[in-house]
Amino acid sequence: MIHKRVIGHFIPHQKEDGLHHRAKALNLSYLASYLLILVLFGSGLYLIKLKAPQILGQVTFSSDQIIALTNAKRAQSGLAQLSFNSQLSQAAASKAGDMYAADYWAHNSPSGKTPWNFISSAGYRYLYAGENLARDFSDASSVVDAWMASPSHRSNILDDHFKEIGVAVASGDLEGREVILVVQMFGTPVSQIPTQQPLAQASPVPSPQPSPVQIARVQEKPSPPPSPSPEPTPSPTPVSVAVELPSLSLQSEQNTQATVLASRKFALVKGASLGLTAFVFALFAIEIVYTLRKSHLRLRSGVLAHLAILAFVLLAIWYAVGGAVL
Amino acid sequence: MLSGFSRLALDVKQLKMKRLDILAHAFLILGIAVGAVAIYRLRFDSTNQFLVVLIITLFYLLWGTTYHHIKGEIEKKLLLEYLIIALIVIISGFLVFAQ
Repeated sequence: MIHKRVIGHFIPHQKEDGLHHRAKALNLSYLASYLLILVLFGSGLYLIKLKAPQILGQVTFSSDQIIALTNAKRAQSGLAQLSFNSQLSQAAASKAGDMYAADYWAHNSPSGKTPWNFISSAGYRYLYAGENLARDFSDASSVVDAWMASPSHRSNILDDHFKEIGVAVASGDLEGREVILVVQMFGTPVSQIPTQQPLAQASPVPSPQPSPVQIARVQEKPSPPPSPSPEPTPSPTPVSVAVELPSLSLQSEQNTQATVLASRKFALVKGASLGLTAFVFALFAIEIVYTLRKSHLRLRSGVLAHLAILAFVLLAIWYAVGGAVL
Repeated sequence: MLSGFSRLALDVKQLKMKRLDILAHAFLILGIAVGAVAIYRLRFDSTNQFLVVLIITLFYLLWGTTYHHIKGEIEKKLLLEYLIIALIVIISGFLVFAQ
């Protein structure tokens, strides 16, 4: 008897009146309770994140980790390691600061500043340059994995033209939320042009196409054309224009890091949403299978539509990642 | 007892309804498939992914209302079922994508 009752909750069943009824767990009151559970769960997590985020985990990650992971990906593809460059690192930090100050999430600032402006302002004279951005990730490997999964960002990481790297990891308030930004800048300094190579061939890369939608990888011909023996240009910044060789001491000095509070929140939310949606999806799927097996029964109207929308959201949640790249 | 003409009219009506069912569901699945492709293409852009979830859920609600209205079986209970499922989808999407 109890066994029958339990089954009646999850699969369609025939009552004493001889009529077939949908699974009790699909009644309107039950569906409304699933919705309520989801709302309460989301509100609870929000409150915990607000009052005691450490309960949801705490992770610190640094720019050095991002550089190490980037170089590991390059090594896996048989490419040379990128050297740390303090000017690129300074440019990345300036870019992150500007994004917080002007409140934007884009390669170009609302006032029209491009990544190349930051690189040039830091005193770095480049032949090739590129920028990858990331936000809201809770650890360094998730950031690099997300870049590697995106073709344009991956091509920046695995670009053989780039010789140097600078990364900034910074936390702050962006678009009304506390976020962690990762700015990764790549470059090849003008000083690395092979001397025997004619100038005309030294910069065969087309100029960037400024467009509202900025692609992550941009190669730019430097505004002052490179000369075979580049002279340091006067710069308003106190940073030396000459390309500096990477040094371990510099790397640790310029290492930036951020602490992610409530780092497990995304995993919890993803798991709970996936579990609840999958449960409702399974109930509708069982109803369809049950009805199809009983030739005298007709499929309840709307069930296929419910199944389709639930399948859609299941897929969307399954592929969701805890951050964004640009 | 139905006359031959009435039975024929009933058969035609059932045939039309069957065709409507197939076309309507094919349209719904096509729309949702477009949404799924958009979600995949917008990986790492959670704001726009959430926007896609919203649009597809709205499409599902509109589809449900229109479909059941045409079939003449629209009722409060059915609409409520659509609404609750739409809310489950939206809140799940909000929690995951708009964190």
